[in-house]
Formats: sequence, C-alpha cells, structure tokens
Amino acid sequence: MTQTNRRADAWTDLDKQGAGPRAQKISGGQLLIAALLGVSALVSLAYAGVSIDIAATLAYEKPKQVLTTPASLGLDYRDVSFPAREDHVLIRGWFIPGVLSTGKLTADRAVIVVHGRAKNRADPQDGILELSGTFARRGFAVLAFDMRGMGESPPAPDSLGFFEQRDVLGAVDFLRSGPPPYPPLSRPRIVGGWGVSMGATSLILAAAREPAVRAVVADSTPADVLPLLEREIPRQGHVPPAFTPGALLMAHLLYGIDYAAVRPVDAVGRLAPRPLFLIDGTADTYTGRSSLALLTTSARRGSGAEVTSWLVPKATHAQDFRTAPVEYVRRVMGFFETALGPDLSPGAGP
Amino acid sequence: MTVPKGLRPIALLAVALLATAALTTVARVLVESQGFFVERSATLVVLGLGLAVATLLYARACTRALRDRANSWPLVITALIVAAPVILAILLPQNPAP
Repeated sequence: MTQTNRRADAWTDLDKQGAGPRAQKISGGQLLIAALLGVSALVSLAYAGVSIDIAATLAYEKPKQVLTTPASLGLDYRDVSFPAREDHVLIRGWFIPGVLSTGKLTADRAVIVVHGRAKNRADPQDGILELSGTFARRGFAVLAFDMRGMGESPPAPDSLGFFEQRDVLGAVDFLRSGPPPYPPLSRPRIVGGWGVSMGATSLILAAAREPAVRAVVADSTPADVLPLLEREIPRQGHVPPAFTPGALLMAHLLYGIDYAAVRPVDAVGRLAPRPLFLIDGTADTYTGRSSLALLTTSARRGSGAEVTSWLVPKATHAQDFRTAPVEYVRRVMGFFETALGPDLSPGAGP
Repeated sequence: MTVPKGLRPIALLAVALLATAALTTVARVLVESQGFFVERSATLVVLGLGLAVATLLYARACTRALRDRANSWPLVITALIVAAPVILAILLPQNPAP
C-alpha cells in the first residue's frame, strides 16, 4: 500500500467515526469547549508574560556610579578586587587601613562593610563611606565593596541576598587568603561585618556559613524577604498580588534566584556564639516593625548566643546612622571593640 | 504508555513546558559566565521560544481533539488545568509584610 493510500484510508476511518473534518458538524457544545480552551490558554499565557516582565524588572537595577573615594575624608586606601565565592564574579571595592591613635596604619582588625540594595560602597544617603571612615579612624581596617550588579562591580541579577552572600564570602576569602590588601601591612587577624538592609541580609546569610566572620552588626534587616516581595511587587509593579507567585517562579527560571531561601530569621541562629548586634528604626515601615523582634528571638535560640538589639527612635529604613549618628557610632564601635578585642599589631600600644 | 486522545493536548503541553523549563535552565548555566546581559537575553529567548512552541503544539493538539465529541469532557478538564495556576495564584493566601 502506498503512503497516499494509507493516508486516504485513515481519513475514511475518521469520517466513519464522524470525526473527520468533512463529516464534522461543530455543535454548540464544542464551540463552547473551544472557547473555554482558548480563554484558559490566553489567560495563562498573559499571566506568564506579565510574570516574566515583572521578574526581569525585579532582578535588575541600573547601577549607581561611585562618585567619591575615601580620599575625600583624608583617608588612605587601595582599590581592590576579588572573586565572589562559588561563581567567581569579580567584586570591586576599597581597602581602607585603620588609623591608630598614634597615626600608624593597621590592618589587624577588619570590618567588611556591606551596603544596601541599589546602592554602592560610597552611598551618601545611608552614609556608607562616612561610616567606613569612622571605622578607619577608630582603628578598624575596612573592606567596603560594591555588591554584584551595583557600583563598579559587574552587572548581575539583584537577588536580595541569595547570590550577594557569595560576595561577602568572597570578601572573607580575600581578607584571609588573598594577596595582602594593603602591603606592607599584613592580612587582618580578625574579621567582623557591618551590613545595612540587603547588605545585612547578605552578611547574615554569609556569616551563618562562614565562622571566620567573628562579629556581625546588622542594620535594618528584614526577617524574611518573601513577605516583603509579596507587599512590594504589587505596590511597585502596579499589578494585582496574584502576579507575585508567577514573578517569583519566573525569577527562579530566568536567573536561578530562590527568594524563598532568603530568610535571615532562619540563618541568624547559626551565628551563635559569635556576638551579634541587631539595629532597626521605630519608623522603618519597609522591613516591617516585627523584623527586629523576630530576628532577636531567633538569634537568641542559638547555643551561647550573644545578641544585642537597639531600636532607634524615629529612624526610617536604613537611616539609623543618619538619625542618631553620635549614639550609633558609640554603640557600634563599642560593640566591635568588645567583640573583636584590641588591636594587636606591633606598635599599637595599650 | 498511551495517553487517551482527549488528554493528549494537556500531556503535550506538560512535556513542552517541562522541556522549556529544562532548556532555560541549561541555557542559563551555559552562558552565565558571559555576563548578566548575555544570560538575561539567552534565557528570555529560550523561554519565549519554548512558550511559543508549547502554545502552538497545544493549540494544534486541541484542534485535533475537538473533532471528536468523545473528547469533550477531557478537553473541559484540560481547560481547567491550564487555567489552574492563575486560579491558584488568585486564591492561595499570601503573607505580605505589613
């Protein structure tokens, strides 16, 4: 039998069953089903399209230029770069040596400074460079860097800490085993971390995995990122809340971001017995008023936990340093002095 | 394994979507070392093409299945399954921050 004959027989069979196109009379019911199929497919396709658009917008923020340097504060510094842990994204930053009361430079104690979302290492609004300068003048060396996708670091998806924790881990690796960041000063003996907002999220997630971070100050940290997205995606995207799960799924598919895994409230307990200082503002409506309490409670569950918390009156999100600068510096510097101990570099003196 | 004729469209759609998800992931892993913009373009193209192909295959399978009245109920179920993610996204409770 030829192929043409076989095809003709097949159509004849279909016609006998009443299913062939020539024998078909489309009933009203079938039209209704066809409409149902079409509408459901269109609705789902439109949902997927809008979700992809939201995910693409959510995961990219145009980087802000770094417009100043520590030299503007009269501080010496070095431009440094190091690979993030795991994916080796090249992170750019500054190493600022600490200045002892004698005027001598030191790198004995270092603080990793981690800025917030859509900011950079010199962000004036959150006072990142100003605070880095204060650390340096109090004798702490500072490694301040631009997280991936921000400042001078290469473009990358904004994952609210999911990937950015690798940058913090890369910073720790750099301080512990990379080339000496400020020759002839030796590598830091002890390392702490300060982070704000998404920087604090990334820092907590990283410190939970890396015991070399000996003390952590986390300012304006959300306890959990998912509720924030469930609030912010409809608000900023001007879409109904139903699009949030789709957008999160598409972010996972397109960029590999698992926002549900960004939960400082789960990680913070693993910092114990290392000292932890949690700060938030009473007017911080972004992270939610309960975040500080949730994080503090969770952190205290860790064995031998040493947790301090401070609620800064009237401070909005990530503005605790700006709102109460003198008290902020007193408390944060006091915390690191106690947690990291005195500078033991030669010539540091009592 | 044979799939009942009426359920072929949804089976085909499921396979096409799973393949799209897998290919998108593979594309992302393959190009992620070349930078964010390349990664974003590659994944968007693969995902977009995958969705387009899945839609075409699904539409074709639906058109064929519609010819047979015996497939009516399976096709109604198919339409509901296709709309289910959107319905679930509307109905499932969320926990937005205050």
